[in-house]
Amino acid sequence: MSDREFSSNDDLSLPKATVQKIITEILPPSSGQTFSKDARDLLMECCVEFITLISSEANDISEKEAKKTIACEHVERALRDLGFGDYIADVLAVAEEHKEQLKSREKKQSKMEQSGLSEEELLRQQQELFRSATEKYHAAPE
Amino acid sequence: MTDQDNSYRPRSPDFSAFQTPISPSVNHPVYPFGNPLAHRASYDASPFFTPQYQQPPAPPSRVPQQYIYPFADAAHLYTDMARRSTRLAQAAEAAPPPQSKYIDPVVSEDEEPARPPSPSPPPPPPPPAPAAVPVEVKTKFPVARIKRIMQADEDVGKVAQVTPIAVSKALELFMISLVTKAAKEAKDRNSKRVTASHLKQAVAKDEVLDFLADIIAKVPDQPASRKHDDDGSDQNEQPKRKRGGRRPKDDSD
Repeated sequence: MSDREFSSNDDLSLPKATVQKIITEILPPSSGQTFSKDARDLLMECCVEFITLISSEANDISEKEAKKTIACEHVERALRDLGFGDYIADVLAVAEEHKEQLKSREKKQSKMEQSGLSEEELLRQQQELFRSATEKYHAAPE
Repeated sequence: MTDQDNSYRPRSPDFSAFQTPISPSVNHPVYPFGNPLAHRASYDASPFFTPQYQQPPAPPSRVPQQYIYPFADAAHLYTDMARRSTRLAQAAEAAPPPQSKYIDPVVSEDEEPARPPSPSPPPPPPPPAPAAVPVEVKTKFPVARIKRIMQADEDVGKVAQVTPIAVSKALELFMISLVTKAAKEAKDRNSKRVTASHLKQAVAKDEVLDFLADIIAKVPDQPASRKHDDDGSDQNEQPKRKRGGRRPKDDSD
């Protein structure tokens, strides 16, 4: 209904449960430290600000190159310019991984693989199917 | 449809008698794509023929389901993703601590002091390994949300498909660094509870984090936690309780 009011505002922060989960992964109970709620909320704000900063910087860079779309290399450059060069290697690795996944999906490999059968086996099954259908067709009992 | 079609169908009893036996095993006019019987679907659909069917076992009908996935691509893609994320979440819940296989040299160099051999007040449980230093976070952020946050800035136009994923990874590293630094601040002050002011102090120390100045300015300087819990009485294990309740109201403020 009034989704342009504050529901959008809510959407523009990160999901609390996810953030909390990540915090717990960083500071597991065995560390003996706990992260207070106000710290978590502040952390979430900082994270949103971080995203905004990176994307705005990446946007500037892409505009300078007269590109209309912000690509991964713009993010990479933004990270370096803003002093987060340490992150680049990991970020690129993740991006690369994603590209690989996309590639294999485009080839529609996944559905074939998911059947758990080799291509020959699938082909054989299909031929069999055709054959049985043809037989049925010609069977024509009395 | 079938009723209307009926009027255009040949009604000759001879013809029907000839046709019917030919399709002994097919009850429903559903043919796999490319099936040689497909052209007869319209005959089978006619009520004219149905009463004579004998409903045979139709053995081969289970075969096609194993092979033909006509338009399932997108569905596979999404279920695949969903399954992966739940798997990750479960894995994260089940086993948070074991992270020693991968150690990022840069991070550990930065955060070295977080694991001095002399833990301040009560020596933590057996594992003397760095509790929080080389972290590999398994929980992932929702990419769509990241993208939305990116595009909340009016200037930001189109974004490539990988970009939010890259940003999401950067954010994860950023978060690890912030949390680790804040935890160190807390430790240095003998607090087991990391508060907003610890986070503030950590941010203030780092020039790279200047862009957060406005945000941390709102936080009071004095560690608010001090008044109700001193270093010792701090042990109340809080985080478990927070998990369950989701109160969106807290978010807005």
